[in-house]
Amino acid sequence: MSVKWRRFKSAWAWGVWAVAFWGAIPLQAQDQTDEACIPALSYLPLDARQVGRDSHGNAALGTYERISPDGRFILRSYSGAQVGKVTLMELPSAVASSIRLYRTPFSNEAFPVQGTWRYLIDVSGEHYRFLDIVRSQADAKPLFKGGMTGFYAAASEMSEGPNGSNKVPKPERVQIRSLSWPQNADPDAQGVGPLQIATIEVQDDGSTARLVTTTGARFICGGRAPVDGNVYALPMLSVDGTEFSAIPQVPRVGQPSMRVYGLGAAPQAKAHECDLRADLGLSPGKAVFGFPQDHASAWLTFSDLGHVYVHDRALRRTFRLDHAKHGVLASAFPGLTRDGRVIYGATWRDCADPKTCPEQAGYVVADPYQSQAYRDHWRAAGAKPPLSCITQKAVAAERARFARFHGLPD
Amino acid sequence: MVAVLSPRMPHALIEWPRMASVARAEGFAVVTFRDPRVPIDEWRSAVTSVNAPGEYIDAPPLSLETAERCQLLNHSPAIVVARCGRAHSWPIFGVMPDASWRHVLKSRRTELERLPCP
Repeated sequence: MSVKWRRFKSAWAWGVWAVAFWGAIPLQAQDQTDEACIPALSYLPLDARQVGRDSHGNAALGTYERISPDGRFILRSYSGAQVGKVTLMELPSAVASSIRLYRTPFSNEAFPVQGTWRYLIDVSGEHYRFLDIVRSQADAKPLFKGGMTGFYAAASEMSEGPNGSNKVPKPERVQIRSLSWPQNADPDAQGVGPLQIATIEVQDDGSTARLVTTTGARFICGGRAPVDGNVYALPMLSVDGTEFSAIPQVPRVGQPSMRVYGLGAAPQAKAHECDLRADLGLSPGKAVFGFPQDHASAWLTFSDLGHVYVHDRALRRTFRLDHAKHGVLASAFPGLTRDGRVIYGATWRDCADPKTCPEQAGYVVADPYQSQAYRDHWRAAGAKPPLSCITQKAVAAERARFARFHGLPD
Repeated sequence: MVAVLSPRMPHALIEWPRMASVARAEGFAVVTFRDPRVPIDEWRSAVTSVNAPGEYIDAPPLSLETAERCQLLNHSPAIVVARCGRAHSWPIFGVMPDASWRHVLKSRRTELERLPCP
C-alpha cells in the first residue's frame, strides 16, 4: 500500500469520523457565534417505537417526502399502519433532540403549497391550513377544494413573488398554481400536451378561506410537440410556480433528459410558452426546485441511483452530495430549503458490518456548499465560491420566518 | 416489454396493472420484475396491501447490474420495450394516463420496427 494511499485513507476516515461526530452534537453547542457553519451532513434517525416498523423491523421511513421551506417539517406518505398514511414530521432544531410526529387526515401523496406551505392539499384537492394540521392533526378540517389533482400533482403559491423576498406577506388574496397529469383528461379535446395547470385565487382572512376564481385546468406545452413530443414524465412545479421540470418521453430532438420549462409569470396567465430554460442532460429521479437566490435561477435537487445531487443552473453543473455513513440509500424525493440545505429520507448504517450496525432509517440534512464536489469545482476554477457554507444564523432566520408566518412557536 | 416495479415509489404498484393491461391490449408481451433493492418480504407485503393481482407476488428481481445499465432504478415503474432481442435505448418512466401511455408505446414500437430483426 502506498504512502499516498494510506494518507488518503487516513484522511478520509478522519473526515467521516469528524462529520459523524459533529453531526451528533447539538447545534447550539458547536459554536456560540451564529455565523458558524451548520454541519456538512447530519443524520437524524427515526425511532421505530414511534413510527412503527417496516417488514425488516426497521423504522418505517415512508416515501414521497416534501420538505418545508425552513426544513423544519417533512410531509411524508406511506407512513405505515401505526401512524396512518400521511404524517407530518418535525425535525429537531438540535440534532440531539428527537423527531416529532403529527398525524394527518390525508391520503397518500398529499402535497404542500410550495413556497409558503400556507396550505397542505389532500389528493382530493381539499386544502387544509398548515397550522390546523399541527394543532388538530387528523381532526383538522379542510377550508376549500380546488386546483389540480391527479398524477404528480404539485402546487405553488405565486403571491410571494418570484424571487423569494424576505418579507412575510399575508395577502388576503392568495394565488396558487397547480400542475398535474390527470387520468381523465382528453388530450385530443384541445389538441395540445397532456400536462395541465390551473391557477386558483383564494380569499383568506386568516381563519376562513374560500375559492374566488380559477383559470380552470388548461393543457400546456402543445407548442413544444415538434421538439419535445407531448408526453412528459416526472413533472414537478417550481417553488414560485413559474417553471416546471420534466423528462420528455418521446423527444423529436435529442434524447430523454430532465429539462426545465418556463410558464407564464402572471398568476392568471392562460397561455404558457414552455420555453426551454435548462437541460440537465441526464435522466435522474424527479427534479425538485429550490428557491431562487439573488435573482439567479433556482437550483434543482434530485436522486440518482441512491445518491443525491444539486444542479446549479448558473454554472450549468451538477454536484454529487457526500455520504458520511455506510450503505446510504437516498429516497427519490429530496428537497431544498430556502437557505439552500438539501434534506432527504434515507436508510444507512453506522458501520459496514450489518451484524454490528443494523440499518437505520431517517432523514439527512446536507449543506451542498460544503460538499466535496462543490468545493473541488471552485478550487479547480481558482475562485472563491459565492458561499462557503450555510450558517446557523441563516437556518435560524428561516425557522423564525416560517414560524412567524404560520403563528408557530419558534 | 420489461417493467421494473418498486413499492417505494408512489403509484407504481397501484397503477401498473392498468398500464400492463393497456400494453397487452396493444399487443405487447409484458414481463414484470421487482426492483432488486427491495427485499422479498417488503415486496409481498406491498403487493398484498394494495390488492395488486396475485401474479405479482412472485415477481423476480431484475439483476442489479442489468437494472443499472438500463437506467431502471431511478423511478418506478421503469419500462424497457424490446423487439427481436433488441431493447429501445430510452426507458419509459413513471405512471401516466392511458392516452399518453399508448402514445409512448406506439412511438417505441415504430422506432424498433424500423430496425430489421437479426
